[in-house]
Amino acid sequence: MAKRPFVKEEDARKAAEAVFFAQICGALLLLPPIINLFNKRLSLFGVPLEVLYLFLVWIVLIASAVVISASVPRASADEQLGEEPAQPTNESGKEGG
Amino acid sequence: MLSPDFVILTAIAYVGFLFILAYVSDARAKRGKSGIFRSPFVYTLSISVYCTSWTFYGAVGTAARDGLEFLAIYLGPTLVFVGWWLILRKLVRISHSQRITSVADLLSSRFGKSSRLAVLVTLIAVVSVTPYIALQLKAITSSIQAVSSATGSSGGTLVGLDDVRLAFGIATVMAIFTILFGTRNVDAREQHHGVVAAIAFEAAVKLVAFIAVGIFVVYGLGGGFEKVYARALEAGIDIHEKGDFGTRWVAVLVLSSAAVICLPRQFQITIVENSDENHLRTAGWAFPTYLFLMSVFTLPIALYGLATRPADSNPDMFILALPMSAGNDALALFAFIGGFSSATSMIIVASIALSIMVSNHVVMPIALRRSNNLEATGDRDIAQLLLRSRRISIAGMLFLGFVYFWLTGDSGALAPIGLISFAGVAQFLPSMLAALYWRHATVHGAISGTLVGFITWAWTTFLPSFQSTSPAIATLMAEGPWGISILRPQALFGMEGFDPLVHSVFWTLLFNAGTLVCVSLATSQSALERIQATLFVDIFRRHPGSQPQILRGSATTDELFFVAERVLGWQRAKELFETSDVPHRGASLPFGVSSAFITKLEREMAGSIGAASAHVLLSKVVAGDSVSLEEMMRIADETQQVIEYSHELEQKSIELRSTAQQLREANSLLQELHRQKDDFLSQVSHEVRTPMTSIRSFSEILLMDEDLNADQRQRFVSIIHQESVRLTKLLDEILDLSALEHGESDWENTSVDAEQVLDRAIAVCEALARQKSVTVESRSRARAGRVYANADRLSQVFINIIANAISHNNAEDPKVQITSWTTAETYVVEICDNGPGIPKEYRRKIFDKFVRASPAADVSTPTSGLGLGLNISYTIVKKMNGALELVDGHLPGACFRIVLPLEGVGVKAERARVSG
Repeated sequence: MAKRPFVKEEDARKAAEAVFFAQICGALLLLPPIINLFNKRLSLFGVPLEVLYLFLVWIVLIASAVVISASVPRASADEQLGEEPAQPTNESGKEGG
Repeated sequence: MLSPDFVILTAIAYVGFLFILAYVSDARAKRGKSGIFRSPFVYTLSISVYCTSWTFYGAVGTAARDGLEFLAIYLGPTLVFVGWWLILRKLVRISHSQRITSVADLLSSRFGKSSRLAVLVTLIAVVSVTPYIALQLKAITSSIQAVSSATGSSGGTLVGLDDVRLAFGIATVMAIFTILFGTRNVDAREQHHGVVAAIAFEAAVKLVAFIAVGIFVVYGLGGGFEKVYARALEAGIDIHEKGDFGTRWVAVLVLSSAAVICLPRQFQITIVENSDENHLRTAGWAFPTYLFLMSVFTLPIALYGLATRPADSNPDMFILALPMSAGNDALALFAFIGGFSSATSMIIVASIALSIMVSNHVVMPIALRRSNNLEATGDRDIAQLLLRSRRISIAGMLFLGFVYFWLTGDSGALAPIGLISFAGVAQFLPSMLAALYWRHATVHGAISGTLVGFITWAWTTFLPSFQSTSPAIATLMAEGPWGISILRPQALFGMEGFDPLVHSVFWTLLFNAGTLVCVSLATSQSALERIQATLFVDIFRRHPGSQPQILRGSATTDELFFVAERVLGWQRAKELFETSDVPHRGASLPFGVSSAFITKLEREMAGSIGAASAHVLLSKVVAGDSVSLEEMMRIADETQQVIEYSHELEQKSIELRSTAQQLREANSLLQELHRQKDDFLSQVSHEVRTPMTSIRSFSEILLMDEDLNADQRQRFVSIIHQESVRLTKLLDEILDLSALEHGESDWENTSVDAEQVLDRAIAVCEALARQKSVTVESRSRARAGRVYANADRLSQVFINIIANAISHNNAEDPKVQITSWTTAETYVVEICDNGPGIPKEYRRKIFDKFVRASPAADVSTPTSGLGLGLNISYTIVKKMNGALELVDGHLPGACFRIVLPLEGVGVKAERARVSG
């Protein structure tokens, strides 16, 4: 019990870092110049490559969101309310953001 | 064929159905059985209010005109929601703990509950969202026109209306609907369960409708994705992107990312209506999935439409036109309902969100300012005032939207109108990010940054949207104001050749963020701002239960209840007071109300009327002794000073303690010296008394007894003489000792040869030795030993020790051995004898005064010493920087060693000592 706040804090920090990394990667994939690498007037199965690429990135982003949502620590009801918690020594989920 | 009347009646029936749905879910929520209406999926669907008729109709149009650009509108929000853990979670947490009701409330609350900032944000929101509402009106009228033009004008009474009247009618119906739902009561947390349920239902309808049309077009008409693209190629349409993804793609991506947080309706649904932070967990992937599904068929529909429809047809309406031209009336009707859903959901949520902002941040402060004395307002119930102002502002918002629609007329496609709004609300983004992550951003920075951004937006984006209808504005855009060409709205500072949207986004966000940062750095925060900044930025770091107690003081419970009742209503106010054990009627607590309760009350009221208004309202009642941060700092300073002072005291006391210790030591030393002096005196008296007694008694005998013969007389007189000699010797030694101890004025060290001195001393003692038959041997001797000493005194030391060795030697074959040698630095003399030696118990204090190694019985013999000789020798040797020690010699008796520094070694030190 005494160790829990630490673990939670650590989790929250790692989650924040992973999420930030995923966001940056997603943004890079969607921005020039990377996006223009796939914009070469090519087609795959009759569909323009850039269209397939964008939807593929989109699916990857959704998949990473599923992973993130499943792995980040849950917020307790006490934390959410932010007032008069059941235990005064409740963990204060430290997170840089 | 679809009859337009039938379509319109269907739409009205649909609205009626929504009304019932909202009513039922509201009623269930009130009974505490919100169940399904509070699931994360309903929450996700309600967030999909992001997809308006711009998405439903406009995205196909954008795809037909500009290719893949429409995707950027959905990829931006996808990125934001994938990272929900970072920004959205923080926003939700802050909004829950601070009872935030809108974007304006968030910014105002963060920046010291500033009313001015709230008003500014509200104003910008109203102006920015007006084109967006106009867009929905335009979409609905266009869709109705599309249906009626397809059927011709035959039949039906409603079709005869022109666009403007139709739009006005729609606006009126929507206003009534929204007022009925959104303003039925003032909720403590601005959560509208019924509306959310209706919005979620509409989100499901529009998704299903769009996908149905998509499947119908792609698979029913087109024969699969591949064939749709192939057909478009055959029709001579370029299916590839025209040119690279460039600045416009980036600008739209940035704007859509900003809009999904900053748009008042998105903030309302995503942040304010959120009932559980964990719902974001689902929305984080479900909302991007929703957007994905809404976009999959957009491009194929556009391409199929372009390939099959006449060239002059409006691509925005392909989604309706394609099923209708294929004769699938049911699907066309469903598509119409889908588009209608997307438009109405946006109008409802946006106008509710804006009306909350207007009533809380514009109407309330004015009302509060006008009525200085709240008790005097009597019947004016604040809750009623809020509801009334909200209803009026909803109607006002829709009317403004209608006016914008009317003024801009047929200014073309749907998407550009939406982007105007996006660029407008994006002006909140810098302040919002600063609010969440930059602790030192000030209210002045936020106000000036937002204002500068808004003015730039109005100049570069909003004004040009009237270009087609106003010749004056068209001229201004071409030539600039008063002919100043560098101020042209779409080529500011000569930046030409860029897309107008890119141009505007660049300048507005640059000016906005730049001003925010510069002004924030140049100004400082007030106490309240600093407190709020900490609450916001460190929301996850905060220890629960440590709410700041901003309001403090003496309000009576009656006054507080009066205010609470006005804002929250009697029932809720009563509950709040009772759960906190605060009496609300009659009895007032003599010591006032706890500040914790006032803080809680303020937060509850903030949920209804906004942080700034709640603060103003309570400040009026609570007799304003609020503790300012400055005051706190002052108190802290004083505490700090006290701590420092006590530190000093502690140090002083340590010093005192050590001084006392030193004094105690000095005292004990003094006592010791005193004791020694007493001892010395008693010893001296004793030594003096013994000869004096014998002198007295013998002289008395000589005086009294006249019968003494000459022999006796002679013996007595010689005893008296001996004793007086002894007495004189004693006194001489005492004087000598005292002279040595107190420093002889004529003491002078000179360079002498110690060997010569030693020889002389041995010669002096020769007579004594012969008398006692003691052999004095000089064994190995140093050739020479120049030392820095007083020759007479050194001689005295040698004589004293040698004489002692001779006179106390009672061995069979008495002898004294004298050895001397030099080391590198010292000259050493050892004088040993084979006498009885010095008993162990005397060894340590043999150099003390009046210490005699021999029994006291010997005292009477004239040759026995007085116990001062060694002490005097010891003192003398010390004065010559040497040492006199008792060592273990090779003979059985005592062995004294005298060590003196050779000349040149200790000279300098010696000279310094003597002259000093």
